[in-house]
Formats: sequence, structure tokens, C-alpha cells
Amino acid sequence: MNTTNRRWYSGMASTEDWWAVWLGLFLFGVSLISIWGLDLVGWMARPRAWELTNLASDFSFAGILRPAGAAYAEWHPLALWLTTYVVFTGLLTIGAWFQGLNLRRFIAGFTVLFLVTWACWLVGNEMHLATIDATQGGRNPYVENGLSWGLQLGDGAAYLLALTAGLVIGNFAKGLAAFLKEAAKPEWFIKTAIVFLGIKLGVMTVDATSFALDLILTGAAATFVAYLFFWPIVYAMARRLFKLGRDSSAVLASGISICGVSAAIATAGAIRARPVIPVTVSMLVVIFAMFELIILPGVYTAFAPDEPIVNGAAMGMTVKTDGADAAAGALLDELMIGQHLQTAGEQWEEGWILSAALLTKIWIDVFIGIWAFLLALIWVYKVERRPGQVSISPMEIWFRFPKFVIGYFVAWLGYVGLAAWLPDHIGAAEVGANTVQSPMRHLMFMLTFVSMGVMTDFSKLKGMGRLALLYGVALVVVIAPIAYVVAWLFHRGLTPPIVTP
Amino acid sequence: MAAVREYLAGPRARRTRRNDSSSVKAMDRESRYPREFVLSFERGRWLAASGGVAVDGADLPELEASLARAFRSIPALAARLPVRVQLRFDYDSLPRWMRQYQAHYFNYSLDIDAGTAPEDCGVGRGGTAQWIRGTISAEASPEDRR
Repeated sequence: MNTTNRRWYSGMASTEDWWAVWLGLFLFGVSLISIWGLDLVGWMARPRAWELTNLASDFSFAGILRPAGAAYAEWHPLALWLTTYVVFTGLLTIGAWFQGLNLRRFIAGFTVLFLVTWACWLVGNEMHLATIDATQGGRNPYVENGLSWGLQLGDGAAYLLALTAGLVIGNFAKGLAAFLKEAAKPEWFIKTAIVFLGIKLGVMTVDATSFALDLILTGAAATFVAYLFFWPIVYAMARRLFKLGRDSSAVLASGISICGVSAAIATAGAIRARPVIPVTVSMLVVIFAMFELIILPGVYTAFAPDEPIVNGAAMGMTVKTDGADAAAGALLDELMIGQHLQTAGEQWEEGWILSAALLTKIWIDVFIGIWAFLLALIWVYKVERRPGQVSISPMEIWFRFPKFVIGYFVAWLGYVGLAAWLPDHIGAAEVGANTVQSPMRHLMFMLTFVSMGVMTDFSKLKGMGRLALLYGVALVVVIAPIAYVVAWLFHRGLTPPIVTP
Repeated sequence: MAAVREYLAGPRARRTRRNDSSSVKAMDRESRYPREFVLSFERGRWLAASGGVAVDGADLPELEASLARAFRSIPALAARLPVRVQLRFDYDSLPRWMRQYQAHYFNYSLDIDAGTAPEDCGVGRGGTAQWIRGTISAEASPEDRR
């Protein structure tokens, strides 16, 4: 048994990338049945904000869980939660079966991940952690619930808890981390969430078309920065300052400056490097992405609280791997909205800062196939000097194309098309679509946070001294500052629409 | 239709299907006239295998030299030179956790010509070639006869 890409449809049934598309679009399609008055996704459980002493004195599951759809208001909260578990486990297990994963280990591992995720999600909604002291629409839940202190992290509290739980498992319970490995698929989870986010972008485009288009177009500019500025600078640093070999320098430059692990693998493949190089670089990228995810959202929120879109776009260019970028974008979204609500008393609409981070990254992802193809040609014709003996097919571009992007754009344009052609039905469509793009997307984000933590083992940094030093220097001296300047040039002064109470 | 079949089949079904008659016929054809090699990297060496032929090398030029040597030294294959051989990397030889990030390493084509001597490849000669099942034959395939 081997896995090779031979035809344009290779991997459609067997890769996480394609399964993100299938799952995302399937749930989007099911949600649209609400157009005919039937909400088939409203059973999704979502956490309710709760206060510790109130809940302890009068415990009920209804105090911590509620349905996503009004049609399911009569369901017992535990039934909602169990339905959520069964449906998500079932759908992901079908994908796991097609991917050839060990089903017993996948289901067992996913069940543990699901429990950890929900524990963090529920605890993260405790009011002392999440509720923000601000009056909106004449109401202040912080005051109404008599809170004397609070971290005021919004939904960021749950994300931080999920990340912490994952990191504890990944670094202090390595036996459990190994057990969860079959199910801990942060890229699969986040790519599915990104397809869901396509629906959110559709909703946002309907509400604020010019702003959404502006984000999309300026996000494209980031692509040129990543490929034409970051890559040559980091490659030259690796060769001249750190005296790395040509192959290692190219792979590391792509990993650091383009889109992390996927770029490292694509570049290594393009130059036909020994697989040990992308494996090493990938481990490094995963660990550094975690540092970026932990540090950058807080730093950006603290130092530039009035530049939400600049911060989001800079995040998209700085944080590598889709999972870490989306997670960092989501965290930044929550932290900045919370801080702005607290200081200015107005609430930015959720999702715009995250979208700024993601759109930038998606543009960079889209061109990785073309970049790798060009590198392959350069290697064959200029570096190895073997034209005539070795040839590379343009199909390599397609094989390396991130397929989840197709799902993202189909969901986005599908929703916008629906709004344009069936304006009378968009209200009904929103009933189902809102469940997919909000609580279901949040669940996938939460699973991503836990899984990323589980997969990150900081002890793997041992023995990577020179590579790790190069990564750190390039990130601090080259990537982060240039990314921020470019993001500022394109997005300065832009803020998300204000939520009207 | 092929896409739909693969989609519906899934990896387990494909594993099962390896034993059915059409799969055996495909393997026989591949054994007689290997044109497409599965490439992998194990214990510091590149390996390429297809049907009855397996070659290896410390680096890709050495592996390609081994492959060219194999083609030139077997009359049934040498008769078909020059030939374009497809090398497709087997992603299963990379750690499983990496597939979620990028599910493709590389494929490429190698042109092998008749050369002036069986070992005239212009690169190192440290690689090896062997017949795994000894199924290479001089019989022409129906496509070749046409």
C-alpha cells in the first residue's frame, strides 16, 4: 500500500484537506434546508455564560448549555450535547475511515479531545473569566451579576484554557498525547472551521460589501510581501549568516516566511530534498507557531488597540501554519473586541479581525503551488543543471494547491449568491447558516486549540540550536516588523462595523 | 467515473481490491513494462520500485543512475529505450502527522536514453538494482503491438 498523487482527483477521498471541504460544505448544505422552514442543525449545543456561586446554589444543565436553534428550545440540554457529540464524531469518523486512520483509536481519541474541549469551553464561559464590564444596549451583565472581579477575556478565555489544556497534555502527559495522536488533527479541524468561516464571510459581505472586498484585495498584497521580501531575506540569512546548506536554507526560508509546514513540505518536494529536512523544519515551525500564538495576540492588543484590522493582517503574515494563524486571529478578535468594548463602550462586530488574519494567509496559501513549481524549475535548470533529463509537470501546482480554499470560496460565494438571487429567503437561510458559522465553527476552533497543544512538544527543540536561532532571529528582525509595516500601509484606520444593540 | 470510483472506494476498499483480478492484471502489465515508479526514502536511502524492479541510491542522481542501469541491462526494457519514467513519491514514507499540512511531496519524470553503455549515466554508481519477482519479460504488450 502506498500513497502517491497520480491524477487530478488523487486524494479527494483520502486527505484531511479534501475532507475539510466535504464536511464544511455538507453541513452548510444541510443548514440551508432552513429555507424551507426546517432547521436541521439547530440541535448544536452551545455554552451559556454562567456564574459560579449562582450555579452552585441552583445547578441545572440549562444554566450552562443552550441550543443553537430556537426550534430545539424544548430539548434537554444533555440531549443537545449528546447529539452534538454523536453527529460530530460520526461525521469525522467517516472522514477518518476514508483517510485510512485506525478507527478504534480515532473514536477513542476524539472522544477524549471532545470532552477536554467542552470542559474548557464551559469553564471558559464562567463570568469571572469571560464577562466584560461594559454597558451595551442599556445593560451591563458584569454589574447585573454582581461580579467583584473578572479577567474580562470574552470568548478568548475558553480559547486560552483549551490551548493550556492541550499544552499540558502534550508536554506533561506524553502517554496521553500519544494516545490522542490519531485524533488530534488541528489542520483538519481548522480547515473545516475555515470553510464554515466562508459562510461567515458571506454574511459579512452581504452586510458590508465594500469592506469585505477591501479586505480581500489588500490581503492579496501580502502574498507579494511573503514571497518577494521575506523569502529572499531569510534565505540569504540562512546561507550567509548561518552557513546552512542550499536545501536546508530554501526549506527553512519557506517555512519561516511563507506558510509554515505546508510551505516547508512543498519547497522540500520542489527541490527534491531528503525528507528529513522538511520533517525537522516542520517540527520547528509547529513549536514556533505556538510561541507566536501565545505571545502575539496579547502584544498586538496591548500596543495597538485602535488598529484591529492592521493587527489581524499582520498576524496573517507573521504566524505560520493555518491552524496557528486562525487560532491567533480568533484570540486577537476576542481580546480586541473585549478591550474596545471595555474602553470605548462600543462593540466591534465579531469575525472581521479574524477574517483579516485569515484572508491574508489564504492568499499566501493559494500561491504556494506556483511558488514551489517555479522553485522546482529553478532547481532543475539552474541549481542541478539537468535540463533534458528531469522534467516537472504543471500538475504539481494542483497537487500542492490547498483544497480547503475551494470550500471556503464555495461557501462564501454560495451564500452571497443566495442573498443576490433569493433575497426573500436569506432571512430563513440565516437561521441554519448562523449555527454553522458560529457555534459549529467555535467548536472546531476549540478542537484546534486543544489539538495544537497536544501536538506541541517543546522538548523537540533540543538539538535544533542553529535552526531555532535562525527562526527566532528571522521572526523578530525580519518577518514581524515588515509584516506590521505592510499591514499598516494597507489597513491603517480600518475598524470593524459596530454592533448596534 | 474513475474519480467517483476512487471516492466511493476509500483506502480500505482499495486495499481489499488489490486482490481482485483487474488489479492483478494491472500489476502484471506494470511488472513487464515498468514506467511508473513509487519513490520512497528509508534509512537514509532513496528507493524506487515498480512491479518486479527495485533500485536504490544514496541520493537521487545515484538512484536515477541505478534505474538507467537497470533499463539498459535488461533486453526487454532496453529495446524500448529511450523512455520517460515517472517517479512518484510515496507520501506514506513521511510521518503521518505531516499529511494534514500538505499531502504531496513530489513527482517528476526522468528521461532514460539508450546511452553508450549500460552504466553510462554520467553520475555516481553507488546504487543497486534488483529484480524482486523476476517477472520482467520480453513479450510485447497489446499497446506496443498496435
